[in-house]
Amino acid sequence: MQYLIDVLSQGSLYALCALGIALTFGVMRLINFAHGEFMMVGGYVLVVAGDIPVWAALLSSVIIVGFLAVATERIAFRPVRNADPETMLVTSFAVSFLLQSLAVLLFGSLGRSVRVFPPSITGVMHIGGLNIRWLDIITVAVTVTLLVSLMAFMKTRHGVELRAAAENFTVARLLGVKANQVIGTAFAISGVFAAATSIVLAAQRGLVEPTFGTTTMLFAFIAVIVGGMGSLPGAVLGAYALGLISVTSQALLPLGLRQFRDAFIFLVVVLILLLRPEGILRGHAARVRI
Amino acid sequence: MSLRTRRSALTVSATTALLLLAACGSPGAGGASPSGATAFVIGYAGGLSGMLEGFEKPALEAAKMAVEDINRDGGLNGKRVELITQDTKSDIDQGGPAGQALLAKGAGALLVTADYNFGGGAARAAQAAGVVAVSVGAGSPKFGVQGIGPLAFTMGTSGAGDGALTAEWAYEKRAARSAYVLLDDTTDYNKDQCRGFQTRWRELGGVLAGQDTFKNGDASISPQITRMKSLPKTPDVIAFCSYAPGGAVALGQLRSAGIDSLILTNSGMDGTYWFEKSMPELSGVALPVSASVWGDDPAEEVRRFVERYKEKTGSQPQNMYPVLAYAAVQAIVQAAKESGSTKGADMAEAMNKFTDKQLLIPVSFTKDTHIDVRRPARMLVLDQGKWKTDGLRSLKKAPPLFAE
Repeated sequence: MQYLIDVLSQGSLYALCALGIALTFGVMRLINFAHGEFMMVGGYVLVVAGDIPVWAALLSSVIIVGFLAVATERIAFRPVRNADPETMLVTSFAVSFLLQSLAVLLFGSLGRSVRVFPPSITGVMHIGGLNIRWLDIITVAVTVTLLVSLMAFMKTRHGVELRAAAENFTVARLLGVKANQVIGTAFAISGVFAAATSIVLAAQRGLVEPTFGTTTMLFAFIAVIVGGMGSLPGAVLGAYALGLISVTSQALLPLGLRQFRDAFIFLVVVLILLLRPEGILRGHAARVRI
Repeated sequence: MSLRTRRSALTVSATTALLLLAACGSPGAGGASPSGATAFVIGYAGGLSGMLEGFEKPALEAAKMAVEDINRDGGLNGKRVELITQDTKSDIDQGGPAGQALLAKGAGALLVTADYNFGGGAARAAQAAGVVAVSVGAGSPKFGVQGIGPLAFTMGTSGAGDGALTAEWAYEKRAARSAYVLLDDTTDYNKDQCRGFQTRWRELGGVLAGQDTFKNGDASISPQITRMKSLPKTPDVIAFCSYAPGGAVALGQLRSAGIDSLILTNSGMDGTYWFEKSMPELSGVALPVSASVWGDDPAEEVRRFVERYKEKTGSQPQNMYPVLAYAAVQAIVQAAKESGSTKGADMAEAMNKFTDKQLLIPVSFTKDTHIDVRRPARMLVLDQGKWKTDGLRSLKKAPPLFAE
């Protein structure tokens, strides 16, 4: 049961991050490796915010990262929108390196400690022999809230346009969907998810450094692949599946094999992909062969 | 990009690469030293930008201070000492080329990154050119005769020794009897630390309550905490073999889960930057270092150096690496003085004879052991967010340097 809580918490973190990645892949077929750096920027906003009220720090993080995501799309990705997917991939690496180098330049490479929430809600609750961290509850709650909001958004006019663009971008444009607007929206939402991930991650880690988002982003990216590239429910499913595989390998592997935990995780991922090469839920964007 | 343009781009890149190789590859291509025969040049190949800059820039500042001091005192046998740098950009693959570039500019000795993998490339380039290379703090016993060659030395101490020292300290001074081993298996140093701890802990008669592993990049160590929490009794100490940032994250999660055991770790967790905002009142963390930068080092020279460093740079050092880098420059110059030669082999022979050589910190090497196994350590103990030195300690019984 305790492990189940660990799975839910870890899966939720991956899901928050994976949704941000899946959104931009859906509309643009862009694998945005700079997503981890969007998270890193969100983390540094919390560091710089210092002692201002929690709500103001969180809001600043969401606004700044949202704006950064939209600005990145405008400056870096729009000029290569019609280029090969590998060109876009390399562009995302360039953005990632640029943001990381800027962080080293501004804040140094050692990292800065950060306290996101007051100490009263960073402790542990004991319920019936279970240890539940407040942070686990916050992580799951943030994920569920954003997921429900995203589902509600998808029913609005902009949401329908977004889904249409993800289904078939060319046809959607022919039907009057504005490309710039729909892609801008996808990036803005992706930025909000990156900020939310950074808040949860910063609260869990207590430290922000230039590689802050890298590992979580890589795992979330794998979750997106396992779930089905471009499918939002797939990304969530993939994230919880990865959380489950990760926690159970850590819990069940004997000590001698535990150092190969990540190898086991990826072995399971490979097995899933052998059985379902297009992921658990196949996304529309992935259906068109690149 | 069409196939043809791709092919021509490849040809251009290959030609450029070959030209660059020809320009930088051969030693001596860059000509004589910057000041000709009147100077002895020390090259610093380190990550002056990128992820290692937080360690390397302070070390470089300290190396510069050492060079200034040596020149003020008359230099090396009448020659001025000069320091030149080459940025490896914190990239393992850039270590070798950076070393080559410095040698080509006439470096007579190299200072390299405090890590076997990151500093090894430049040290191997120096070894091949017959030049001494000193790492400013690699903690691997392979950094020397065994892994690089007879001209490579490190100012660091070994993971196994550091782990064993914490075992002796906790058992004897803190009367700890039960231990849990938590290993971040990302680096060999961490593995050595946990191995050294376990070896000594068993010899002392301590109880090993359990062990587990994690990775430095893990966002959460919840499953490990769940396992630790299932123990019938909280262990007295946790041998915590990791380093910041991942180590800081894991340690914070242990504390927020209510695990208050004394944490025995290593110099990779020195500093206040990783907890000052998130856990300002943090206590119960102990680690051995070669020098304390927190104002209470038992050696007056170290305390004075740290004050001068703060005045010069305007910042508080976060770890012992500036002290080690200063001593590394002293070691190089001392070896050249004692051997009366600036040839790598002669300098190395002089360094092999260092026994408690009193530089900024004492330094000892032997013909086969180019990592210091004699230097007394300062146990740093974190109390209410402040590092305090708990005296000097020497190992009573050293564990094997290398894993069997």
